[in-house]
Amino acid sequence: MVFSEPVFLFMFLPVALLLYYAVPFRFKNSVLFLTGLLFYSWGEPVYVVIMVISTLIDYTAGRIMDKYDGRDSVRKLCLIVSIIMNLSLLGVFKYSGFFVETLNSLGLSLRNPNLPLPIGISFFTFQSMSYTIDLYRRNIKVQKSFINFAAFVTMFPQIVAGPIVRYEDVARELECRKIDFEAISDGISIFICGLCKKVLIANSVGELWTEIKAMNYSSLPALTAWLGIISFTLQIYFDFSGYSDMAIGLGKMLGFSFPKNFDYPYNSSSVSEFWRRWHMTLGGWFKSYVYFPLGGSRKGKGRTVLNLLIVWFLTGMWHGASWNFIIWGLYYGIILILEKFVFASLLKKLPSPVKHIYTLLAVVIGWVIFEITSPADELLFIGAMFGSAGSLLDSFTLNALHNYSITLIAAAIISTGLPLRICKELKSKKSYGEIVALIGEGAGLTACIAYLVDASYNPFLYFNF
Amino acid sequence: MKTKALRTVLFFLIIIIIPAFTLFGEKETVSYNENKTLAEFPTLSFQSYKNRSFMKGVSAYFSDHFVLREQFIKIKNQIDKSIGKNEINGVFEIDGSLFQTFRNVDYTLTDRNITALNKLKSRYPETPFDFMLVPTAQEMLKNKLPKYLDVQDESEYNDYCVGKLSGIEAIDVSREIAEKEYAYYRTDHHWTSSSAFAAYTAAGQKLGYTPLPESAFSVETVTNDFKGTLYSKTLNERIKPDSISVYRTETDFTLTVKDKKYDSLYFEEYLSQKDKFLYFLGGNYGVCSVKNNTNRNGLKLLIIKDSYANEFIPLIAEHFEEITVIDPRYCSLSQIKEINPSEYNRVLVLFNVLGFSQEQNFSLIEFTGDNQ
Repeated sequence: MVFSEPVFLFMFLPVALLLYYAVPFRFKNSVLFLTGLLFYSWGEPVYVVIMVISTLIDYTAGRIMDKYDGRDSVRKLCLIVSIIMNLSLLGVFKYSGFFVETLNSLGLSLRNPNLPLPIGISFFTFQSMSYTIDLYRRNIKVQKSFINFAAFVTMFPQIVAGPIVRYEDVARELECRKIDFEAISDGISIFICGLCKKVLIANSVGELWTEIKAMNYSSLPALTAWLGIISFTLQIYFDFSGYSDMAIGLGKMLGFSFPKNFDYPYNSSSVSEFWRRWHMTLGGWFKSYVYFPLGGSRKGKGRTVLNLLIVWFLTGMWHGASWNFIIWGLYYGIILILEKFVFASLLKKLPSPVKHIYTLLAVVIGWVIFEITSPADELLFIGAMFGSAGSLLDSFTLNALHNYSITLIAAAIISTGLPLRICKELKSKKSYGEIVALIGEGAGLTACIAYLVDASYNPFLYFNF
Repeated sequence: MKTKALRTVLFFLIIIIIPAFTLFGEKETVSYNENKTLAEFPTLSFQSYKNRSFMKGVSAYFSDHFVLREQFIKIKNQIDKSIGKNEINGVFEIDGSLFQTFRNVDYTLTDRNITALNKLKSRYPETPFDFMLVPTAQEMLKNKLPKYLDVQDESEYNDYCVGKLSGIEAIDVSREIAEKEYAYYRTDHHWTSSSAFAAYTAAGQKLGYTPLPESAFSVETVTNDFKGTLYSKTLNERIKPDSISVYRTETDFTLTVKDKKYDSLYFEEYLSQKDKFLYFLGGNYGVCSVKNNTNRNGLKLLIIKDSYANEFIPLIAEHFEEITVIDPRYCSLSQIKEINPSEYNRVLVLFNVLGFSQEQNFSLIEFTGDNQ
């Protein structure tokens, strides 16, 4: 199930929320666990078993670590079992096809198992690992109740697409949390905002990108290529951050405060800054559990460069089982190394618009690598952006500009965060601000419903032709 | 604080009222505009849950019966329009009329269709073949269209097709249609009967008949309340409903579809239903035949067509004792093999430009008469 479908909004959500609010506090985590299972099994009726097993193993590993508190070898063993189990889930379900194909291209002829990817596996494995690792490091206390632990892993707001909530983020709230009108109302606002981002903006500009992506890049007019990749740049931001907003909003409605995941990344004036603002929980995860354990930047220049490359190789790979994601990760690794060691002083001196343009350009080129699978096509597409097709625009470009200009401009402005800031100011300073916000949210929700309903409307092409 | 409580209450009302009405409200079983039977609630079983057919069924049921579904779609179309996306499901509005945009032509398909036609013709060199590609409303409106609309030119497409024909005569009626004031329905993708009449008059010389003057027909408006396929695609209420006219004479016809015989080419019963275009011939059939019982001149015509011909056939039927009609979209290979073109005085192919350019089944006609 995803948040932006009618069955979630109008069947699952009312039932889950009402049940959750109706039961006394000591049953709330059970409701979270059960509704989480229903939510997950709706999309993965078979793989839900895998998730339950992995939850059981991590829970048990935690209990054993706690029981043998004095024996480091036992604790280490538990940690290793948990990490191996989580990583092999990822390895088998996400990467086996990729490994087989890579080996086959080197001359082997293995059979591709073609396993379908369980939804959200990259997220819930990382979330569970944060528990056992932090427990081993004694950053957190053990969770003795299976229900509480299972509620953490399976709760529906964050299970399929992040933010990557670490156990320590919600440890306290699992035991005790406040649920009141104020939190619920704030949660609703954030949720509707995220829904609008996803349904009204991401889906719309995504349509344009889908059209352009399918075109022949060797004859793509420059402006069309730019329109396409700008659409994708906006689509992925609004899609991903919209989804995170919905998760954060739902979390608030349930009494949890999840960590922020996006902080207007396209406002950044360096690529390093971009990555501090984009998918923050993933960056934080890699920092705590990979970069720092490798020694971070404390072991000399050479080692820092190596550590960064390892982290970015893995970050790329986390995004998908294909070479272009690895190239994309390493692309960022290299830029970050350059920014850190070569251009640091130059970057400081540049005027801020230049820094901004440089960052956006680097990010946009990054999205080309991210989104187009074959490196040959990526080069063709980048070529097209810089006019290799020999034309600036054609009739398609004009039509696309007419149909999408308003959406694209609005999306670009919203992605800077300015409109939301004005909104917040209005809300706090003017007496009518609150009401205006409420009306705005109502209109936004209505529009979202209209677009969701329309997506299922298929006037039959051939009827009576 | 008050607004916060209000927001919470409103939100919960919305997410409770919508499913309540959707699940328990009054329901339709068919959607006319989508031409489909609406989904029924799926049955839950271990199997249907495991293979997700239950979940898919619930989704389909929920969207099909969504409360105020068409109203929400209208809101969506209105928003799209206001932000510049004024083409809805491939339909564009201009001057109070709707038309389908003609673009992204698949020339491989067109070539395949023309080759099939040429092959058929080459097997019957004695039988004259005519090819009438009727432009759609876009062609008439093309000078009014905004510059940004990246559509293709229908007359260029017609020229492309005609250039590929071998041994087949082309009949161009676009000029005659252009002279008509009400050439196309505003809410439907067909030409009007008055355009079909103009084509009937213009094509007489090539098809070897002397067209009757308009005065020989009684022209009658049978409905003023026709909302056609383009309405269904856009749900655009601002467009004035169309009127359907009919050109009748006293001639006695029999329409034969499989074993069924009808004594009229017009089906009054459809005028009270939503899809009023079925008035002409009662719809489309893989194969049907029209017999002129009044004028037994022995002439036989074979028509290969799409629904643009439905308004045209009753007119041309005045001049042929028997017309056999093939609609390749609804026709099976075995049906088409039974029909022998050499038994006919002429063969006429009549399609609209857009329909022809997208017709996947057309190449079937290559096998016409194969069983002979």
